[in-house]
Formats: sequence, structure tokens, C-alpha cells
Amino acid sequence: MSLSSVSRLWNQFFFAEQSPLPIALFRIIYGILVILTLALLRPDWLNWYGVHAWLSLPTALKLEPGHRLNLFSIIPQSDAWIEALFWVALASAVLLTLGLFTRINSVLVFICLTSIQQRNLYITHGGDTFLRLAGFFLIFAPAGAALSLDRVIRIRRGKEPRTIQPRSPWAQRMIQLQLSFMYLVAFMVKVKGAPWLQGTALFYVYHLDEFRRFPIPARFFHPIVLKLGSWSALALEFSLGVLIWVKELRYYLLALGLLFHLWLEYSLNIPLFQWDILSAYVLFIDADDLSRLWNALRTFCFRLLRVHNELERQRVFGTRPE
Amino acid sequence: MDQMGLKQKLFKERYRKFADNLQRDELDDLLPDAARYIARLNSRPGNPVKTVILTEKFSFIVPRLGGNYVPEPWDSHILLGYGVRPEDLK
Repeated sequence: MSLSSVSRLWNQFFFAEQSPLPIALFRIIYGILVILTLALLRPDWLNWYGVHAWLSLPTALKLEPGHRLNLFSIIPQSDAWIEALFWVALASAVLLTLGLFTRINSVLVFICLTSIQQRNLYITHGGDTFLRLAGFFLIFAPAGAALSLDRVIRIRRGKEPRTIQPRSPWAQRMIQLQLSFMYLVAFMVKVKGAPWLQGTALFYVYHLDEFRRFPIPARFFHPIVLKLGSWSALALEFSLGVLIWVKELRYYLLALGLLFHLWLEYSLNIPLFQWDILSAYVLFIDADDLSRLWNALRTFCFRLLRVHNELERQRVFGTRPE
Repeated sequence: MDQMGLKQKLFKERYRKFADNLQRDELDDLLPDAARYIARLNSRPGNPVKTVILTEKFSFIVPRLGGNYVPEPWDSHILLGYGVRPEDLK
């Protein structure tokens, strides 16, 4: 392989223009997840981030020294200001979801999320970290180029054609790479430990009472099932980290990954973690397939509505549809 | 956590994470802050908290033949004993 062909492949991968539909859909799901994250934090907002929080700001800064993007260390230390920060974060997440002033709000959401995590790093999970990192790349992505109020406004003003214009996907690629690295690192960390290789890891996971959500059927505790489960998780994480880039395998792996995360969502109580990770799956779906999926969904909804209307007419007038 | 309902678990999971981190040796600096918070939470006018003792309770998960699980007895050790000062309660 020559240097020029490597350069051509690089440019093709990061910069060959494509539909911004996947990144726009990701923006919406991402925004909803940030809103839900904030909603779950709301009842304990001041307990975690207030002046008299579980972890004081001086201790947080002592434990994580150096320059950090943390609005909590800039704003005046009063609960009123800390409350205001919550509403700024929420408002920017709502506007980002709607796609209004998308770029500005993606910056605001990133700064707020980073500040929240830096203020208390000891209550965050991997999904929070993924949201923060994806949020950084979302700033540079054409996230408002489709499915956004910004686009509606631009079309009305005659500044943009009605057909969605292709854009450079480099920022989307960075989020995709982030996701695949995450799976690969998870795989590499797990294979260092004997329980995953011996196939006993899930036994311990399922017996952590504080993590349990819904009851797990007894057959899942059979040693052979536990071994198969542990090894399958390893194989899947490796595949989602590496083989996801093979186009022919991608959709099969995404489907398996979806089932894997839904099972974890059922069995383990780690709020929003699975959805944070699954949100980036849309970035691996081809824009044409997304459009087809959207059209199929719309047709299904219209049919459902028509059947509902017919049944309603029957109920009111007592006549059968012709 | 295991005694909470589904909705409560959803909102309080971060407490589990924080409690996990309180037990890590390299994060000992978290303990006095947590002790002060607990002191403020439980102090009443005329009846201030004077001492907070943070205890870690644990039970090992031991796989047995045939995949059976019998809970091991619980053990505990003290993470921190903290003498509360009047300024901690402000």
C-alpha cells in the first residue's frame, strides 16, 4: 500500500461528504439523554454540588489538581448560583435537542456536563464520560444540518435548499471511534482478570445485590450458562471494538449489541448507562437506511391512525367501513 | 440500595457509586467531607452531632460447586472516626 493510497483512504474516511442525518439524529437522542441525566440529578443537585455538598469544592480541587474546565470553581459560591447553573444546563440541553442555536448550545452543554463531572468525579459512570467526550466532538459536527429548528429557519429565509446537503463527517467519525475504543478497552481490561477468562465473572456480577434491578431467572445461574455469558460478553465487546468497521458485519453486531445492552438494562441498575452507549449506534447506520426506517415508521403510524379512525367511526355511527 | 424500590434506585444510584469510592484507600480525603455532611444532616438545635463513625460492611461472594450461592456472613471495619467541630455544622 502506497503512502498516497493511505492518504486517500484517510481523507475518504474522515472527509468524504455524507448525509448529516445520522449525526442530527444522534444530537436529538444525546440531548434527551442529557435532559434525563439532569432530571435524575435534580432532587440531589445541592447535595452533590451545593456549597455544603457531600464533597466540598476545596476537597474536589485537592483530589483532582491542575487546570480543569469547571464552572463551579468560577461562579460565586452560593446555592443560588449553583441552582442557576442547573437551569442553564437544562435550557441548553433542551435547545440542543430541538436544534435551535445548535452550535452555541452544543458548546454550553459540553461545558456544563464537564463542570458537573469535574465538581464530583466520584459519582459518575462510564456513560457520563461517554456523553462528555461525545459532546466535545458534537461541537464541531454539522449536528444542526438536519432535523433541527435552525434548518427550518434557514430554509424559510431561503438560505438553504430543502434537500439535505452532504457534509464532512470527521466529527461523527471521532464519536464512532470513541465508541469502538470504549468497547475495545472494556475487552482489554476484562481479559486481564481471571474471572472473565475462567467464565465466572457473571456469577459475581449477578450477586451484587446493590446493582440488581429485575429478577434474573434461575437458569441463568447455571455454571455453563454463566461461562457462555461471560465469554460471549468478551467476544461481543471485542467485535464491537474492531469488527464494527467491517461493513458486512456492522448491522449484525449492532443488533447483538442492542440485545446485550437491553439485557444489562433489565438486570443491572446503572441508570442511563446503556442508553448513553446505545445512542451512538445511530452513527453507524447508513443515512439511506435511516431514511428508509423513518419512512417505514411513518407509513406504519399512518396505517395505525387510519385503522384507529375507522374503528372510532364504527363506534360512533355503528357502521362498518366499506 | 437492595431495599429501595425501582424509582428510588433510579434516583439514588449515585449514592451507591459515591459510597463505593468512599471505601477506596486512595480516596481517604473524601471521608472527612462525608462525615461533616452527615453531622450537618443529623444535628438538631441544642443536640449537635459530636462524633461520626463511618463503617464499611462487606460480605464475600463465593461461587460453590454447581453454581450454588450461599451468602457469606457480613463483616465490617471502621473507615473513619470523626470528632465534629462547631464550625463543621455551619
